[in-house]
Amino acid sequence: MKSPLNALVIIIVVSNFYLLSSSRLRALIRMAAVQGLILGLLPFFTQVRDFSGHTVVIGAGGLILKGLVIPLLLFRALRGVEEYRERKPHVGYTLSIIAGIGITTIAFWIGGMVPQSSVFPHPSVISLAISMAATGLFLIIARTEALTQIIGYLVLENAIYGFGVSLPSAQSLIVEMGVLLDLLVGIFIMGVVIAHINREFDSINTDMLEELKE
Amino acid sequence: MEQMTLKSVLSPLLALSCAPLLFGIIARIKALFAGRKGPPLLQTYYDLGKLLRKGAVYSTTSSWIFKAGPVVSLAALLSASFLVPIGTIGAPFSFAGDIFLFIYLLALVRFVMVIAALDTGSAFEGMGASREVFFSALAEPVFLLCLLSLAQSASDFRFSGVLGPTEQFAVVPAILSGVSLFVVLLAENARIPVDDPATHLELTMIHEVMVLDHSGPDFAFITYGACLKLWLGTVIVARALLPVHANSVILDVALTLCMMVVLTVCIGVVESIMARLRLLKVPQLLMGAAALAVLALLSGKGGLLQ
Repeated sequence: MKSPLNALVIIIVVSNFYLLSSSRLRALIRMAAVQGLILGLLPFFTQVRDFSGHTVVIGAGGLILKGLVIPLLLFRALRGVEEYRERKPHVGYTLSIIAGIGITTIAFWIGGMVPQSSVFPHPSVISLAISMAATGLFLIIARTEALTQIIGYLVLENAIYGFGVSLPSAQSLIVEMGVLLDLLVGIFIMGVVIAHINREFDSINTDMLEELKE
Repeated sequence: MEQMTLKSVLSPLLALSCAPLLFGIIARIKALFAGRKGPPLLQTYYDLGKLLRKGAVYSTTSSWIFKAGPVVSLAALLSASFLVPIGTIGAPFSFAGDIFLFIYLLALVRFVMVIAALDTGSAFEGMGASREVFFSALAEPVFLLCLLSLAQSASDFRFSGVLGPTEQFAVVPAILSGVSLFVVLLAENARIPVDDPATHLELTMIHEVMVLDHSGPDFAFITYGACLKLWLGTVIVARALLPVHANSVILDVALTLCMMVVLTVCIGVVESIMARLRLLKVPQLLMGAAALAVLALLSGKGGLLQ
């Protein structure tokens, strides 16, 4: 079962690169949804040995929430927003891809140092989690639109989710569901914040918030 | 260096005789999409024959460099065609590190074309040369990375190993390096979406603008060289995607040739359904290809992802 898991890991890394290189807001939401869907498949490959109700709940919960509910919420948040693409990122797209290459290489180098053991049965998923976490943080720093930063936050949360499902211990169900619920609430609030920023500035560029001075 | 066998001469012979056919296939596919009948498949051969019979015109500002450009570039590409095997018949010359020689022969081609373009003293050709160098500076490392990932999975730095039959075929790295190589193929051969070979607006041209001043036999050399380059590129991509070993030499060669025709059709389809990218978007495309190449290197045999 090693090879399909690695194929999934590679597909998710490719989706990371797409998130780093695209400026279209709706395309970003769609790709984040695809990433969530593929990530929801991950527990079915990592938890092979004790395939249980726990795996199904975690997988199905991730699939529905990340692949369906959150993207719909984000599309809803974009209603009435004029912008359809990121205009002035702090870091350009070509440079972002180069940064992504660096992030991925370092992440896989670190992951390669983790010995395969009963605690960490899937080092490749740990590499993936590190690269996704770094990609998410990079997106939050490098982009100016509020929506792209939310996508960065989503990728960061995806990384935590991926790391969680790669571990063999089954006691993390409550933690996982808690994180997913937090994420959902977070996206709700961020949707409201986007609407407010848009009403105030006719744009969702977060650099505008600097004008809010005394 | 290995002993040169009579059979191995077949790969360069196939390349030399059939290379212009690929241009014919692309033209046919584009005509099909546009609802036209299209030129005959052998049109490139007719063009080459016509150009070879013509005389060449030389500008008074140009020197011997301008005349040497097409000759040297064709010579380098002919040498390169003796390094690349087709199927499992092997190449006439094969030694450790010949993949690097191949890359530098292609670089030599570009270098002589660029100085020949600069030698004309035309502003347009200088602009084209500048763009060509810019994009190939990005495409070359990607090409190198792809060849390295193929060499890594074959544990061999000879073309006969890189493009030879593999024991275990890893699907994921093969797809990654195949897609990446295809993008490099489009960029190196000045096809859409990097460059439009059919355009005659100087402002948008890259490769075509460099060869505007060449005429007659010189232009025939350049066109034939472009055909050879496309042929060698498709051989490499075909083998990356389809490392066949059917235990029969004829079957292997036939499968590789079929895959090459499929790739050529793909180029034609891409040219028909896509527009040329904005110049500023091209580096992004090539960096995307670089990302895939790095992933292929990471996920291949002996890579970090095991």
